[in-house]
Amino acid sequence: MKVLEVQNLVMYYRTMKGYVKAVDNVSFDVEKGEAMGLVGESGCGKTTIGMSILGLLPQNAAVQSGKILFRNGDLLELSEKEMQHVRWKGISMIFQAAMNALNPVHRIEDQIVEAIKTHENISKEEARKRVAQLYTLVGLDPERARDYPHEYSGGMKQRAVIAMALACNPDIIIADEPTTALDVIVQDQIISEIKKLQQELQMTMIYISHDISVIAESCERIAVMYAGILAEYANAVDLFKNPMHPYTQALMSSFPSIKGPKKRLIPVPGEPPNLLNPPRGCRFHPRCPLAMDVCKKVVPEFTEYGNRHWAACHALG
Amino acid sequence: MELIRAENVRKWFPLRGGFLERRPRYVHAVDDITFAIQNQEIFGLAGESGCGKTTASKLLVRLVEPTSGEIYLDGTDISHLEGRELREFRKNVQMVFQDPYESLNPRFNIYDTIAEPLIVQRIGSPEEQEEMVYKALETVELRPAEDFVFRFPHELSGGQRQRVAVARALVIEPTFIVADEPVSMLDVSIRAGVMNLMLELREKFGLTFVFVTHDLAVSRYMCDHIAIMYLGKVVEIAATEELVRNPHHPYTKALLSAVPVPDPTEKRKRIDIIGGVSAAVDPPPGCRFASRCPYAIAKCKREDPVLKDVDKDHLAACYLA
Repeated sequence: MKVLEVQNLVMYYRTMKGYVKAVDNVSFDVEKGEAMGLVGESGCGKTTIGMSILGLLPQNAAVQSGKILFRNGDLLELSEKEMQHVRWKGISMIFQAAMNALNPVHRIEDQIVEAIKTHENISKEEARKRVAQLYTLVGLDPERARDYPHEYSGGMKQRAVIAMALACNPDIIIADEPTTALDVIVQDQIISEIKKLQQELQMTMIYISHDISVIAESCERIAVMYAGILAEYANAVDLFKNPMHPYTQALMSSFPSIKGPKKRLIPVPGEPPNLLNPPRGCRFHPRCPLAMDVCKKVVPEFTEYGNRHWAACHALG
Repeated sequence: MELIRAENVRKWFPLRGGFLERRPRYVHAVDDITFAIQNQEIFGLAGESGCGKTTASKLLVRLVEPTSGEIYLDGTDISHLEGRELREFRKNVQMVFQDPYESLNPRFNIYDTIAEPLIVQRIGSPEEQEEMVYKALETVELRPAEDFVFRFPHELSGGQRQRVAVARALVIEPTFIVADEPVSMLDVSIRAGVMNLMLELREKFGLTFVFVTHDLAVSRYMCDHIAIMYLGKVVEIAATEELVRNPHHPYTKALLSAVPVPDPTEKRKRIDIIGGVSAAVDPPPGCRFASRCPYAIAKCKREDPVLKDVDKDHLAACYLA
């Protein structure tokens, strides 16, 4: 069952120099209970998509067209007031804890209680009880719920942010770079914690990261983005075994691994484009080893190549 | 042949205590480390944040003076050089920093940025300097050099900036370069290019690198030897593949088992260790890792293990290794 469907989303940012074409014609869906990964380099539009789903875009963002279907409605058509009901209860977010996701002058318990009480009509006592349950769930000591954020280590803060995202029992959780600022061992603990919770609670997740190894371990399906477009969308195992889009292939052959034989890395030539003025046709063509004439003129269609493996490339015929 | 040798090097930073505190307290950022770096090798310093890898790298280029111990470059003790001697020494060593957005002066164009070490070290006439700057830009593959010399850092991408930082380090033709997390701010597709560039420079100019990083997959790709640090101590040193395949120290094992692998079919065996890294302020005696180590015995909490041979070209500081 599809829980969320993004259809042909086009999202631009207005700037003094013109429109930054941050997301262009992106479509994907998320099934109930699955972890879906959005992976790509900085500026590829992955966070913009997360923020569009939650209606948290900055003032200068303008949705040009497209739909985000959730609970039989289009999220893009909801008013701010209606959107507030969707946030936390319908869709919640795990932010990067290092990036000020927690208010430093309030006790963590109070912050989670506030989030619960805004969305549910329950007493403070009940909300506190739920915080204690959430703390146990994410592997924190409930005794420490009344601490302030600065009394927590990086990993504990991230766990508290996860507890907060779970607080109202949402249908979907979006995790935006949840482990990026953490050290290797703590990162690993958080990754396995999220994975455990996702499987135990049958959680539907959208996992955003620049790190293909983190995405590979956490997600069942993976969407690869490049410069505002969706390059490829497939089952994780298929994607790694049989990457179709030249960008996905390039990404994989430029990524070092600690396991397996040591291979020479092949860098992708050139630089990601400026999205004020992205290349015509396929946005990857200036860096693509397979680029043909048609790639410079025509935007490739996002096509299914069997078994829910989608890619947008002319070279695939 | 050995190029650099650090012997029992310590760097303790005093903490400013309270008014009533009699005994000053110290952060043991680097605490009694010993290692040797061979000529023309890439030597990796790896570990989590706060393990002392950056302090160790700064000691090697003498941006920081050791509290005790000796550092030898080509047999000469450089640990307490001053003034003119220090400046002479710096002709041999250069540094590349992590963040190319902060390490380049935004008001200097690329020419001035790369020429600065030549001016500071008074190398060459203005004409010769110009030639050297152009050559350095060519070497880091910013071609044609004429297109770059009059640009400013804000006009370049992250990858190009880091190449400028490498060119600046190369221009005075040092024997030894310390690179502190040089690719961790760069995107994946750009990162591989900068890493390959550094590998080529080593081949071409016979340079020796110290490569500092928290990313073990990156250090596996770059380094000939890796030293794993934990709370100011080197806990293990070995040739890269030996370390990756056959780690002896429990901390190295845990660290390696925590690195995510870009393969969804790979089932990693995790080694669970408890807690987080503690502070390096006046640490208790014994092994620094003992409180988190699943195999710790009584002796570990009493006496600090020293690095000892555990295999060919493989040292570890653990009683059980």
